[in-house]
Amino acid sequence: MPVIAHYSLIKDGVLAIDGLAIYRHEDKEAGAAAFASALYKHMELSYLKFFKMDNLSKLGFLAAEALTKAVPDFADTPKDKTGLFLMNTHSSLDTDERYYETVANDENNFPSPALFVYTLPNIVIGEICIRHKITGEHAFLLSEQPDATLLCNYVCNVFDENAVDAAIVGWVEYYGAKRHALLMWVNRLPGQTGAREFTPEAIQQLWTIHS
Amino acid sequence: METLITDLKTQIIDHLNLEGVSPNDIDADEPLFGSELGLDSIDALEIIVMLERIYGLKIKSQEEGKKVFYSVRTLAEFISENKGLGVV
Repeated sequence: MPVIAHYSLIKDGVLAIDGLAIYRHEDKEAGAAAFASALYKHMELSYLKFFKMDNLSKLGFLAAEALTKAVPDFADTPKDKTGLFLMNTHSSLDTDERYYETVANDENNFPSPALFVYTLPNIVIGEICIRHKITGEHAFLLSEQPDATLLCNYVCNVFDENAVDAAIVGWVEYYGAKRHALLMWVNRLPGQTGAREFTPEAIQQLWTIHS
Repeated sequence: METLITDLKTQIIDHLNLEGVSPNDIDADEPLFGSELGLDSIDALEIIVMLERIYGLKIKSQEEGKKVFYSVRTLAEFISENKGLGVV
């Protein structure tokens, strides 16, 4: 049975690891872009491509960055045996709408290539994989509601087939007022302090606590 | 020409979201691609759109694009030579 060894959360201007807030954005009225930039600087990252990402990718990227820094066994897990499984309800709709605005007006029709490349939700997976050189199994699942059972079953099947040794699993949502990321580090290492079994109930509990 | 070069640097920074880069950081004669700016193929497409949107100019061929996009100065020269001609 895989376990949730660690998790990161970004919500309401707060970054938390395993439930402990490690960064709180002081300016609560600041927009998402300002928060993302502030968190990027706080984490002392140096990755220019970050600023070209769409909002969904920035959110997932920062949550993954915080999680992987906090996970002791991340570096030692073979990258071809590291999985990445994400889910949300609104896909890449935030960027889809922004892109549509660039093509909706016949008289000012200048489609943006930089926006277009982010009009799929799984691009956030690509950004995280590129950053960490992850080449294992991956999928982005969409559901009308957060579906812990679907996510758990999907990921457990991949573990059962020994396709991965560990995985980043979670929820990344950016649309309207819904802006949060909850990423879990799931592995099968025994005896980890604070680890809980990777079950739909455990996932649901984390979602409920932090929703 | 120098005013156009400065304008182009600002527009490139703005359109390509080059966070932390100022116009002074871009050498007008240095190659735009393969430099410290880290520009990629999507950035090239964005510059093509930018040229059309702001200056009403289109690149005719890949060969021409290679010459025009070599540096900010070659870009400025292309705009200066074709300004007012619309689509070239």
